[in-house]
Amino acid sequence: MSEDIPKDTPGAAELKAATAEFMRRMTNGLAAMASIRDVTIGSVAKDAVFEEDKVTLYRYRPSEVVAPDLRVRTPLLICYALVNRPYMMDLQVDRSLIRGLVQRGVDVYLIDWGYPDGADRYLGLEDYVLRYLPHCVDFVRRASGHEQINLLGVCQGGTMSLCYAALHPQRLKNLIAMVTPVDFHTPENLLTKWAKDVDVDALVATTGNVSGEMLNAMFVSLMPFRLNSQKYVELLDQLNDPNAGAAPLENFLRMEKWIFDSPDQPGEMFRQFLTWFVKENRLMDGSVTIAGRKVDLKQIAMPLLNIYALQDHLVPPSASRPMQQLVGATDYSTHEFQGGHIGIYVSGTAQRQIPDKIAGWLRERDGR
Amino acid sequence: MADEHNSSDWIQAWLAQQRELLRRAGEGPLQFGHEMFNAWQSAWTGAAAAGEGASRQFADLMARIPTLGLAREQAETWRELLAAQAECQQLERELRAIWTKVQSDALGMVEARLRERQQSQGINDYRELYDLWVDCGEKVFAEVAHSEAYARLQAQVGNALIRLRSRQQDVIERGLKYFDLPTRSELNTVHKQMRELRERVATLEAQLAEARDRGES
Repeated sequence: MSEDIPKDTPGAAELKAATAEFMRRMTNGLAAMASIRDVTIGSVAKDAVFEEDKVTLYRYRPSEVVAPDLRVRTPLLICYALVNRPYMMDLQVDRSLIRGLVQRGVDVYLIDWGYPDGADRYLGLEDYVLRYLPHCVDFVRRASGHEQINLLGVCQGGTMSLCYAALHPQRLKNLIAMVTPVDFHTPENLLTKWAKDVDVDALVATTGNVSGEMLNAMFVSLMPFRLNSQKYVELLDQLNDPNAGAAPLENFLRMEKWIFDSPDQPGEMFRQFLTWFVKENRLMDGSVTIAGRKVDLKQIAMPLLNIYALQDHLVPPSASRPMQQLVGATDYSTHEFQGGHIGIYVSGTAQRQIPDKIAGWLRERDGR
Repeated sequence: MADEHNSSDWIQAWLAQQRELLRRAGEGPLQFGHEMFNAWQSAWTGAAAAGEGASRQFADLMARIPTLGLAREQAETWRELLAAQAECQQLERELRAIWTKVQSDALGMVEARLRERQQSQGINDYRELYDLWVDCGEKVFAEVAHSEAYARLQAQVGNALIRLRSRQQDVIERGLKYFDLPTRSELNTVHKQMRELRERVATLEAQLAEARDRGES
């Protein structure tokens, strides 16, 4: 860069020195990166207890140190989004919602949707909301001996959970929605603005499944200067800090893996979700119909906890807040988290606050 | 009779030409229609020499002429592919121009902020300047990204890329069929049937389980 200006330009020497210093830091950083091995992911032991097609249901091993009277008896099933991998829920020891829940006596199950491939391109909402999710719920009901279980939906998984809860309210004791959008047409919602004129029918007809790489490129382009450049420059600071140790770099690499380890989206599911929920905002006017069954959110009468993040740029709070008006629950609570869409799982504050809130809220309603 | 005589002459000339063509065919590959090809090539070169506008007009004219004959379907497929490619390039140029303007406006904002800061704390190092540039860039881009015009153009680029890919698939499918290799369309048919069968099996299994529960098995 400094080579592009004439030598006699005032400040050229300083700029050249700054560039050289940057290159030195970059070289040091690369050497530090080369010394890191593959990072491991996950901190709580788990067992695969049910499988169907590419879907796997895991049960996390309960903590033995929680006294029986402090346990939440009703099991909790986590329904994650299809867009990223669910290991974000248990990334590492000090970044794990699931660890926090298990340590507070919650019996946690998690649905892993797997990596859909070309043979799954015709899977639609009805497959996820009326087949896979119900089969997982029924497995947990049978395995635990509870007629009703607790369901926690995350992001797109929250939207699917709302649909399921409306269609099968008798099977759920409590419902938790985390960073879950219901109103996709609020002014802050940049993704909706960008999707408005996209010919999603042609997209899916042409690409079959919608690639994870394509979606990642879109997410990154929401904040291109920060996400393509600044975060890597900040990484250089950590790499050049002699007191930092390996942990910050490992944390960075773990997050980087999660961000870009994105499954392809089954074409039909993507088409329906984008058209019905994002473009047509059907949850807001009650016009969602799945396989001929009308999704009436007023049927959601079980206690509902809505957790959203105040600095969320993907699911802005305004997209989650209208949930209260749409559902039939009289026991409705909200929890506002000071942070973003990812910070709600991995930030230091979240590690204490979110599991405390969820476990406490469930425990209060466990005996009812 | 003079006219008849003249007509007879040119008919004879044509027959001689055909005989010569057939004689040459025995010596090498048939060059059927190469005079017309040469004429078109000259017209294309002439249009290109006359400038980009004339070249585009000529390309537009060619694109509007319906394709004919045995190879019309193939020619049509290729022509649609070329049209989709041209559309993509045009829209991508427009999008790139906006991104360039974002960068340029961001730099302008950095300069304005630097002037403001000179009266207070100033900028201490290269990194601080870089962070300021990132902040300004995001601020300028956010305004552009939320605009109706940008969302529309970005969608247009995306839709054009989809059309281009679809045309490329058409060309590749033709090739695969020629070699009797499976095509995406055929796989789609199979996958659709598989999904329907999976759904029917799941429904039947659920009905069977219900019947067992009722003791009807």
